[in-house]
Amino acid sequence: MADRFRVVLAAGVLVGMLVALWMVFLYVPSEPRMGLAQRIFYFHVPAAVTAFIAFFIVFVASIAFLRTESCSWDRLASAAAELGTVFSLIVLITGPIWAKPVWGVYWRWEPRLTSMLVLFSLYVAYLMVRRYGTDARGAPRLAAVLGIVAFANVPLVYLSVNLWAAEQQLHPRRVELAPEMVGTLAMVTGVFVLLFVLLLDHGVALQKLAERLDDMREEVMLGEGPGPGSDPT
Amino acid sequence: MNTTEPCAYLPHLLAAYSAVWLVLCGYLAVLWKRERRLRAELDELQESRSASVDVRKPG
Repeated sequence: MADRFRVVLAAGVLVGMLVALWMVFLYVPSEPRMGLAQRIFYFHVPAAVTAFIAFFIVFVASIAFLRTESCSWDRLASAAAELGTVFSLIVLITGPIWAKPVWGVYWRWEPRLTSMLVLFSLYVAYLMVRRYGTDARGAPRLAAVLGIVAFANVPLVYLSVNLWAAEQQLHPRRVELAPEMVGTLAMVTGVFVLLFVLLLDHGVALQKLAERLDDMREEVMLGEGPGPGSDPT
Repeated sequence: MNTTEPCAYLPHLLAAYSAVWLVLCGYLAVLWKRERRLRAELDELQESRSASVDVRKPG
């Protein structure tokens, strides 16, 4: 991505975030039943949407990597998984803070909360395979398989409110929103997606840098082999 | 629950938004530190490589 486009994107995220905060705190009307606590929704849901987009990219890039063995797909999957995990963490932190005033508890082992926690754990495992896998060729392949399998949990999280019995649910099955609420939600989601694109590009660039470093280390090690005057014994 | 108080649950709202910013800023800090470490290692390697080329040159 060209540097100029990156700067424009970063400026867009900054301006968009300021507008989004204005909408969340000043423009959108309060929901009468939940009051101020409902405004957590405007960061909680966009974070979840962004995490799902990230995990979809991991899924597609992992399939492409297994088919082509191209490092660029592997880099994309790795950077997207890291970002997806960060946005999932935001969902898992803001959710319980919102749940306390609304449900009276921070956490209940209900379908959506549990499946979201499982999803987060799966991608933490993915990142651990990448970080601690000792086999330079095997670890990315294993991570790619995990990235494909873990994605099966994404539709499960989304559909969990309908798949399990109503008495087990705390999340509502249907949500009616005023037009201002829909606009605010769309705005924050758009800004989060832009932020995701910016950070994804940066993450991929850092991985390229790390690979270049590995190549140079190998070159230096080969160059430092036994010199012409050294004793072979 | 039914709230008519305008500032009810303000601490929850502040806690949630603080958490969002903390996570995002923390991740940016991790990225920044990673980039600095990689660039420092790269510079170090480039220096050692050019030094080893100088040593191997005859004379």
